[in-house]
Amino acid sequence: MDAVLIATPDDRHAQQAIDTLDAGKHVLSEIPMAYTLDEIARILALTEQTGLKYTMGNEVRWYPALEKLKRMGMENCWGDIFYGEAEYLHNLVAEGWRKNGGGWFEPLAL
Amino acid sequence: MVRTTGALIRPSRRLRYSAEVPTPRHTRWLSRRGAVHAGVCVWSRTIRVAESGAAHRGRSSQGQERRRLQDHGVLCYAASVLPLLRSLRHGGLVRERANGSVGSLLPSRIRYRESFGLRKLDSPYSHHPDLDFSSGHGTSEYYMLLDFLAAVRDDRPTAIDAREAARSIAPQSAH
Repeated sequence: MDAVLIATPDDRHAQQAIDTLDAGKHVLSEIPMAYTLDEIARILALTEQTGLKYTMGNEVRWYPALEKLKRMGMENCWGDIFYGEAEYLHNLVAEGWRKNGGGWFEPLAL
Repeated sequence: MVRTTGALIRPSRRLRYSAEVPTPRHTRWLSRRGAVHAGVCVWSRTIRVAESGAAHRGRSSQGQERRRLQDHGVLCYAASVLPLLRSLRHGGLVRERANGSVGSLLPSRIRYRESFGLRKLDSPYSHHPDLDFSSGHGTSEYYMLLDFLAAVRDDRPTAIDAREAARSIAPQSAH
């Protein structure tokens, strides 16, 4: 085993990531990365000490529309951008993932 | 010179602005139906409109439907598509990766009509035969996983590595 996917309830992500990095495995963790600054600092330190890969699974980063927008911005398609705004609508109530402490992969978690 | 967004945009674009930003009521309506929508607007001044002093807006928008939305029929389909239609009315960039059955209800002539000033997004994986377009988040997870595995293979940082993740959820922690 080289890597671990952490798709558990939110409040377990950090400790499981720390344990996984301690064990010498790469980590793909569901969002959020952690609940506390101490947990974040520990994960940062471990990744920098070990060179192991860590990624926080925020899939929105790979939305084609957003990728295209970023690319166009980098290519200076609009000239001098002076203002931007974003919106995101998601059915948090019906999914109940926040209430239950579960991640976005909760239904698929092993 | 840019001072505040309100001074530059709101007075002349109040109606359009208010029309495209989801109201709390609309947001709740979408939420009850499991619709997901992500949109980004950027404003800039370009050479083309500089003489009038007007601002040029580019918009990128993406909406997705969930499997269960199909159970609710056309009404919920419309709930998810409405934000896209708003984008169409105002011009900009629209890309949607609905699943097959729902997506087929959205004619390409609407999605990409040039009269709306739209540009179809070219995506090398938009019709990849190995992908299930009914999967969550429009298959974005596939590319997230691909980035992770490639980073391991090539020994390079992931797109959202620990420092970037920290920066995104707790900016003060990344220093």
